[in-house]
Amino acid sequence: MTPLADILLAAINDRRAELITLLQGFVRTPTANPPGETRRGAAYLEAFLRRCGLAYRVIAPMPDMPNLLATFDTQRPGPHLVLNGHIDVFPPGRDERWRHGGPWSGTIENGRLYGRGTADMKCGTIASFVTYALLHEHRDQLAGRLTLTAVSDEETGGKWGTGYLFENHRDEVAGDCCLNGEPSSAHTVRYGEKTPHWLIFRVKTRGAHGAYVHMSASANKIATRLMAALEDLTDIRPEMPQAVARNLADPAVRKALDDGLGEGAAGLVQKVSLNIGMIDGGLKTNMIPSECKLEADIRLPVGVTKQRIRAEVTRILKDFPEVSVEEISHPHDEANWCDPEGHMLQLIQEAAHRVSGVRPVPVITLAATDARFWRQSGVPAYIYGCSPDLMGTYDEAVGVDEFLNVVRVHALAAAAFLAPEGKGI
Amino acid sequence: MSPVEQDLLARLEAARERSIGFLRDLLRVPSPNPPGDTRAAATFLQRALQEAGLNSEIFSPHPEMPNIVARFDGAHPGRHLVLNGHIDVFPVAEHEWTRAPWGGEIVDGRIYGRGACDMKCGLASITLAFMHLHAVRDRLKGRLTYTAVSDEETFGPWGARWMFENRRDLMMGDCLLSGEPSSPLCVRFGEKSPIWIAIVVRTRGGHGAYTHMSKSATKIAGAIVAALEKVTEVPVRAPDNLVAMFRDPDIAAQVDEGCGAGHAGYISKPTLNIGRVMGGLKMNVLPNECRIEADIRLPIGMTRNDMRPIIAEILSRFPEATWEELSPPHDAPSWSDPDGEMMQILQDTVVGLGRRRPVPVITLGATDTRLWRYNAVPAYVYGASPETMAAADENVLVEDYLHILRTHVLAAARYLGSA
Repeated sequence: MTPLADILLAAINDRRAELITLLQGFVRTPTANPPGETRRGAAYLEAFLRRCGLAYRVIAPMPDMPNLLATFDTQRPGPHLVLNGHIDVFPPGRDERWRHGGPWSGTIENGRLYGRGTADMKCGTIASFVTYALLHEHRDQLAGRLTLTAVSDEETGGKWGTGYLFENHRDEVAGDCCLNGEPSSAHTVRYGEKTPHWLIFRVKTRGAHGAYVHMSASANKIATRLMAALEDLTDIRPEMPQAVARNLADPAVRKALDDGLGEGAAGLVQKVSLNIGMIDGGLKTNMIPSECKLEADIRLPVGVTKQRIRAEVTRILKDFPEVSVEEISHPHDEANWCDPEGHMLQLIQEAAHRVSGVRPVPVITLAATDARFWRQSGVPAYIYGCSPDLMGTYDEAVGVDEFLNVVRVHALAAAAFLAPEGKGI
Repeated sequence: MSPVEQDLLARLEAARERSIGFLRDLLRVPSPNPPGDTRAAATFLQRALQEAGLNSEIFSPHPEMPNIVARFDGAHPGRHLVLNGHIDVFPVAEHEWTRAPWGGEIVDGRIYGRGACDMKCGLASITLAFMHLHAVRDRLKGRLTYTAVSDEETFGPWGARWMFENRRDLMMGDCLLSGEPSSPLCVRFGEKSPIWIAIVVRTRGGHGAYTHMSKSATKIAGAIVAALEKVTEVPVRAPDNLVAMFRDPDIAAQVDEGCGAGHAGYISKPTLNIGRVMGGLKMNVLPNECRIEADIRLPIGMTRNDMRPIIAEILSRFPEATWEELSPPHDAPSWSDPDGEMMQILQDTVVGLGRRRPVPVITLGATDTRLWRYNAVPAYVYGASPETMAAADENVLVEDYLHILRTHVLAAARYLGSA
């Protein structure tokens, strides 16, 4: 009998054109968040499941942000694997700055498929759907249970997406392990992540006519001074757990981080980072602004708690009596990680090595994903996906072959995880 | 006081409540700029003129920004005085107000509303002054022109600038009196000149967690805001008589009393306001674009060509930034004779009305009066306290408004002279 892995790889090769079209169609369906309206994106994925004859449920606590849930049981004892991906993507910015036919073009040029969300993470979400469908076809050769979750509201914190599923359908979605196709690059598997600490600062002053600088302090000038003062946060030194510190000291890991996430990533994984995602102050050129809003996206590494960062922000704000601060990220999230040598991690490494010749190394990464919901529940969660280089930019794209490799690695790793005891695939 | 002036004062006393009602009604017609649509307020003014038997002409080079001109001749030949005000007002951040911004409410002797000081108080005053003087025109000499324009708050092209470019004949006279805010303690005879620049910072951008991947447009903008402060340190060579005037501690003290503590000190210095900063799409996206709008004010003694290379030098340190000027490229600080005839008339009139002699002042802001000065017409400003200008809960004291109206009426009558 042909091994299941060979069958899966052959099936993916046979359906190559169909899979590319599937991703392209998904990219052509706008799902920007904000505003977060993802119904068309969900409908697109539902149509795929229906074509494959697969049952699913729509769970939509917010009607315009639906989540999809599908599951099958092999009727043989085994572990419960959960596939997770998100439907929503970053907002597109200004259409005219896109160089490849606009944010929702799905244009393919020189083997790359362009559009907002191609990398983050329509490539990975499609990989989860294809994996689910393929494994369902071959469920007679598997053990345990496979669940597919596709969520909305990931880009803005997950309250109505994975967070909602964990609060209301925990038994169905927690499982024993999670596999997620967020961008990781072919060189790494992600076993942990920094946590975002999102703060909104509001500066209030009296305001006045712009020529009358003696009449009022300027909310904009205070905001830009605050911006500079907040840079102090990036000097905080983390207290890392030993397993993570060992992993981060490994030169192979550091090289993989720099190769995969860009020069400097290995250093940044261990540091507090500060992004001023938005600044908005003033009504008019010639008015002294009475209000300015800063939105800061601070990322805490493993070893820096939210409590510590809060104390530091409070210290900085002592010099800014005009400023109030509001924390809008989830107050109990912390930087999170699971075993850098876990079972699924090894299966992903083997699958990736077979497919691409690269054995990805385990890394902690910079961006938050819904994988944290599993890790914070004590369930290991691993991420393997395409390169994140261009995500969020006006040239966001995924290589077509890169996409197909992500599909292959997910299908092989998931099948291996659900292999009946004593059998390989 | 001449008999005509006495009659005018009596008319004003009799019309006291109507005068107050007129300003309140004007404040109830919103005319914020941006967006700058002043049609409703212009209609209000034109109707008031019509009811007083005055024909006016509308010029609307921009369909939403009408300009009104009206004029009459006295019974005898004489000099030509022009009154000027603008109809548009600053925009409103409604949530900051504790009074209705378009309500014209009176509380504790103050009339509240956007434009109460800048400059619907002055606009109502010159409108009513024009009507009262019209009523006694058979005893006056010379000619009086009324101009109420739009598009002043943004120095847009569709107001007084358009009129000067296209109907200069209607705008010109021998002297200009404006009701812009000055404080009743001061008469403005000159003004600084704004340079408005827009700076756009562009970077590659990316994901907010990947701060190593791209420079941040917002952080660069923050650094630019700090670096721009240098423009306030540029040395200025002002004319000696002006320097001496504002070094006089009595004048400086009265200027600060009328226009806010610190005003006198800024008359001869460049200032920097960062009116707007807008950047980024979303908290967790590394911003690829940020826009800054800066409002720099040049004092008398400094030209745009003095300042431009300094701005250019500062911004050249930020290769991700491009910039452009938003303000009219040829404007300059402007001033009329601080001892001119209208200055003395205004000062004497105010003293005659029982108030403290106003001191001459250069305003920090800019007004359309500059256009008359550029055309060699002396221009003077007497109006409300600028204290709440552009701020929430903008207001004017009822008594100040009535005092300004009396001053405008009497000063205009004196300038024209009676037969």
